[in-house]
Amino acid sequence: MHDRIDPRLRRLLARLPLAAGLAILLWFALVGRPWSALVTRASEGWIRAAERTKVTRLAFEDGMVVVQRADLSSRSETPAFSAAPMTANLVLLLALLFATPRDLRAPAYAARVAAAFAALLLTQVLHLSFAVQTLYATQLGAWSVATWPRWQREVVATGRYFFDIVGKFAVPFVFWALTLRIGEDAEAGKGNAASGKRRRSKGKG
Amino acid sequence: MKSASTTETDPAGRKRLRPEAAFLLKFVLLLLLFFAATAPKPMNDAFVEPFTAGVAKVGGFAAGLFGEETRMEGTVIRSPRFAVNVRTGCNGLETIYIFFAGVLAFPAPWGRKLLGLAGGFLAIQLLNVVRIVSLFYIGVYFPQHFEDSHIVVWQAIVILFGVALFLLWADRYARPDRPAAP
Repeated sequence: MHDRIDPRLRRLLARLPLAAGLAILLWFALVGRPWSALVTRASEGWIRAAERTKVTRLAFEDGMVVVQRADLSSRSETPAFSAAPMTANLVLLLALLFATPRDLRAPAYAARVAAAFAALLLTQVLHLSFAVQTLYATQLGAWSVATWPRWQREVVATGRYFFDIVGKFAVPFVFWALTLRIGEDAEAGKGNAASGKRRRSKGKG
Repeated sequence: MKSASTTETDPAGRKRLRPEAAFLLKFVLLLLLFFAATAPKPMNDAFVEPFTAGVAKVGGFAAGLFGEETRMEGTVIRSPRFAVNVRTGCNGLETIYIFFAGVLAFPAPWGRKLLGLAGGFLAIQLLNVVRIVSLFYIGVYFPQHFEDSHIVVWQAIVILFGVALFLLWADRYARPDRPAAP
């Protein structure tokens, strides 16, 4: 066990509570609604691209994803669910990025951060799409049973459950880890040590 | 700019995954394994539900310490003023999965891993009890903020706590010993 924490980690941990507060504040004040609307729009495009007959329309209203199918009776209740459980993991990525000290950032940091946001958006689209498909497959009564074979119901429900339970919490951590210097630092350290050895052996020779 | 390759060459000249790429791969595989092991209904009924009921019981007991007249109904903490249903996703398991996957994927001696798993489990569950009690009181006094507190604020706090705990463990207990100062 070490007596001292790595100074870069110490800075990260010291910043994390404030970074979390800032990320949460940003979510409620600025980012939450436009980001959730973006995820909803992207999910609609993704779902419609996979549909033989383009029937799904998703609307983002008052924090809810409203699911409208062109082939559902207009007398049916319009299904809707909250978007935040699928999109609020943006707060985790924001908090981790805000807390990252400069000397832990990988080269091409801005590009990696942009890629992390894009990858997070992609996983959220996948999560929301699973949620819509699960709604179709399990919550529309006799229509669900008649239209969705059992194995398809299992697949979409498992996909949604995976993101609900583990996926949505783990992906921000993974994408954040890919913006860090860890590997490059070790490599640079090894490189420096090797060139140092070469210099020393040249000096001896 | 140096290319960020996921592989390196070992002293014997063989290509192998770089340690950080190997860690991330193991981390993701372990998460999938934990999910596959606990998601099926029989496992969920045998393990996750009783665990969640236990977490709810401790949460209800803790709320009782603040003078709240709580009674338990399975995973529901009920008082005359409010009721909270502790479900999968609020039982701390999601953070424990992430923390355990991180610890098990990290190259460290098994003794330190076991110490990390035990300590992390207790610390995460302790914070989770604070979350349950605070959400209960948010439900009592500010019910309009319950959903936001539950989905955005507390989930972020608990997951970030798990991540911070893992980073601390990896640095303090699992890093190879530094050479002594001359």
